[in-house]
Amino acid sequence: MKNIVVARYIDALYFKKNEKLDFSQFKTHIAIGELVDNNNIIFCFTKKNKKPNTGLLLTQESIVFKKNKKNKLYNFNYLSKIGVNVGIYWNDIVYFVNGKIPEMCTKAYTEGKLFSVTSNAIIIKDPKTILLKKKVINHPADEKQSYCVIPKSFVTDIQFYDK
Amino acid sequence: MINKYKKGDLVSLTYEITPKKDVMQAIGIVYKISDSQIVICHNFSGVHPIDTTKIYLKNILKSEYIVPNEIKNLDDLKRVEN
Repeated sequence: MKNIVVARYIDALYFKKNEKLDFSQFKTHIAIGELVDNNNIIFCFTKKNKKPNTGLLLTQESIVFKKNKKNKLYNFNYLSKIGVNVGIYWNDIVYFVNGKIPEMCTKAYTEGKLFSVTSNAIIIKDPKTILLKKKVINHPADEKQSYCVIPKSFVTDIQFYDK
Repeated sequence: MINKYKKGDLVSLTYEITPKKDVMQAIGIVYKISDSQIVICHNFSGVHPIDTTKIYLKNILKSEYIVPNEIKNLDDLKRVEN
């Protein structure tokens, strides 16, 4: 029972087509589980025959610490790029089920128009997000989105495509 | 059995699922409880549950109250035993 932990974390947000963009701050999520890997920060919520069955892989950047490290993209001057087509590479957290524990976070790529930037978020209009796995997968798989809100701390690289 | 748990308790429940006889364990907060089943919530967004597990009370084999450690910084992760 020594490995039972609580973590506060944030996650990217998606707004469906025709859904109003209602965003001011990321809501803090709270997860409770057994920490099964402290390098990849893997929480297990349920176990099946003593093996992790469902859970969550968090990145260090997704956990809300008192002082989060800020990457160089935090202080980039985005204002001059509003309305520009962008491609954002970022690391997404992963929910797992049926004992399929992920080895690492999911590398994601979101393309769309830079709509707005807040102190800790980048908002993309008409986004298309793919997960960069062995096989490229649309994310979310089934619905078109109007906006995607990505925490700045999740971002690993940005490409600007035109002005 | 119902009185044993109350909403908001932090618990680890070991239970069996029939007919396969698999032994399961669920960790989280008691979110709902009725005459026959209990709902454990593993993570929340604000007060809204994200992931939950329903368990029939009759299937519970063992229950423990837990006191989780909060991860407040990276050193807390290193301190957690593997």
